[in-house]
Amino acid sequence: MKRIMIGMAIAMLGGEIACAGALPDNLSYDPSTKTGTIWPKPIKGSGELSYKNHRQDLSRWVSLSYAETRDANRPVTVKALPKGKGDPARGKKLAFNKKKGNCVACHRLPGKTQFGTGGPSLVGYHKLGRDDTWIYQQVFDARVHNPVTIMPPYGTNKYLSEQELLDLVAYLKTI
Amino acid sequence: MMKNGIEKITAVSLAIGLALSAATTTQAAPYREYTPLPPGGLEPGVQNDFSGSYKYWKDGETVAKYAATLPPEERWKLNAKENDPPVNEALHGGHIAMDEGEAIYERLNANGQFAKCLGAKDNDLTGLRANHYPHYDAKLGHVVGLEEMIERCAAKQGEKLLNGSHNNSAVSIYIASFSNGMPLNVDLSDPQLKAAFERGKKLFTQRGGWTNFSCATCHVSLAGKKLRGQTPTTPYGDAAHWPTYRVKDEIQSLHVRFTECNRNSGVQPLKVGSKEYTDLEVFLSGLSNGYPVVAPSLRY
Ligand code: HEC
Ligand code: HEC
Repeated sequence: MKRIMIGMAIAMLGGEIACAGALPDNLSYDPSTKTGTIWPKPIKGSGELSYKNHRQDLSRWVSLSYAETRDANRPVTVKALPKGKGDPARGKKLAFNKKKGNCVACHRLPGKTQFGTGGPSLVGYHKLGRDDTWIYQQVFDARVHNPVTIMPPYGTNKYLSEQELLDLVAYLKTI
Repeated sequence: MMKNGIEKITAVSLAIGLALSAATTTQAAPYREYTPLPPGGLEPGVQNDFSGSYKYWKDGETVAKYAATLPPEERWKLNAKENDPPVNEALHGGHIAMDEGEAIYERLNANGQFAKCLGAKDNDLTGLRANHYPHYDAKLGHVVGLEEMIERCAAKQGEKLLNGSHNNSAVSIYIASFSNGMPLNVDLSDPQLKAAFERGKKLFTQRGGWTNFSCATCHVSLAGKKLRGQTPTTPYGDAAHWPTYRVKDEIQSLHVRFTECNRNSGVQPLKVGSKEYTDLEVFLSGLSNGYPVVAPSLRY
């Protein structure tokens, strides 16, 4: 029941945005599909296109459309840590999961042989002795520390929840 | 929980309502962030590549030399040119598509009107891809890429060849093969093309999506860096070999490639043929100015 209500709320909300005309009309988007966001797949020997659903609705964030009137999210400074306790084991899973933090796309993390080099290695990270709020801020919105950072603002853009961010901080303190 | 949920909806709709009315009353440009340009900027012409890799892929002979000697961690410097002749002379799906494209082209051009519509003189396709696309079309009043014109001109002959479709790309590859080896030559002294180039450059650095990534996040800031299994490369020299045969067994157009890069970086893709994607096409084509057309080509 809980699930259904939330689903309905999201569906209604989606409908409202579409009715209000907030979504540009040149997005690769079909609100009648499961996630809305669709992408073209050519069909062999055909002059038509088929479409597939992306795994999530990407229209929640600003696109490159000239008709996009929404503001991008400005940097957000974290005043204090949210209530709750992080779980390092969950944090580790989030850091490795391609569909979640995917931190390993840019950072070297212990136990991973295939990692990215876009950010500094986080192997031995606890030795830097950063305090929890600073680390939380870095993952919530790194732009506060470096305005031209390439690290995604996981918290500000509501990609990860507060609990998930706490889990990541807890994990980073163990490595 | 139920009550809570509904309260949330109202709060959010209210916020959206407020944001909307603000947007309509003030008309101020929405807040955006941009990736800084690399030293030297993103100026047209392959020789202006900022990544230091141009000297590895400047011509086929050079690519062949370095393809044989570069260690794995430096192979990104080849800018994927090792997949094209002379290093890779193998037959692949691009060759099949090119033959299909020829058959479709011959059918559509039975009366000579298709070639004329595309801008060819006396049915001669030589140099059409290299010297005539993308261009500003005065009748349409906007900049067009080759695949958009293939769709438009095919429609006039009663055939549906949607921009981005397999058959459209097949025809495009066939037409491009008449420019094989000819340097791409986008006329940026044309004010309309220059304006599209500049709009495309701005879009290329404009951040979006949940990641707050721009195209330049990967293709400038992360060029040559590892992104888990992949290594993004310079945007220079990226436009003279499209549409291409992707080894996932797909004939892919440049705009369809954009939708792939968009969704891979958590950015909502746009429609194939949109003005934004066409501006990006002009921008990337400008960065490829001076680089020879390859048809058919292959990319992983
Ligand atoms: C697109 C690349 C990218 C991704 C993905 C990424 N980061 Fe980062 N990260 C960076 C860069 C670059 C820096 C260097 C500082 C800066 O520019 O913000 C950084 C810095 C950091 C730091 C600060 C190191 C210090 O100096 O104390 C931490 C902690 C961190 N990242 C954690 C994470 C976590 C956790 C994730 C996944 C949720 C993540 N990063 C995902 C690029 C990335
Ligand atoms: C998350 C990183 C990422 C982002 C952001 C990204 N790309 Fe890519 N792109 C890649 C990777 C990785 C490749 C394959 C390696 C290469 O050719 O650079 C690629 C390939 C390409 C290619 C094909 C190059 C070739 O040689 O055939 C084009 C064109 C391209 N991207 C354009 C864009 C445009 C335009 C944008 C912005 C709309 C963009 N990319 C955003 C990662 C990215």
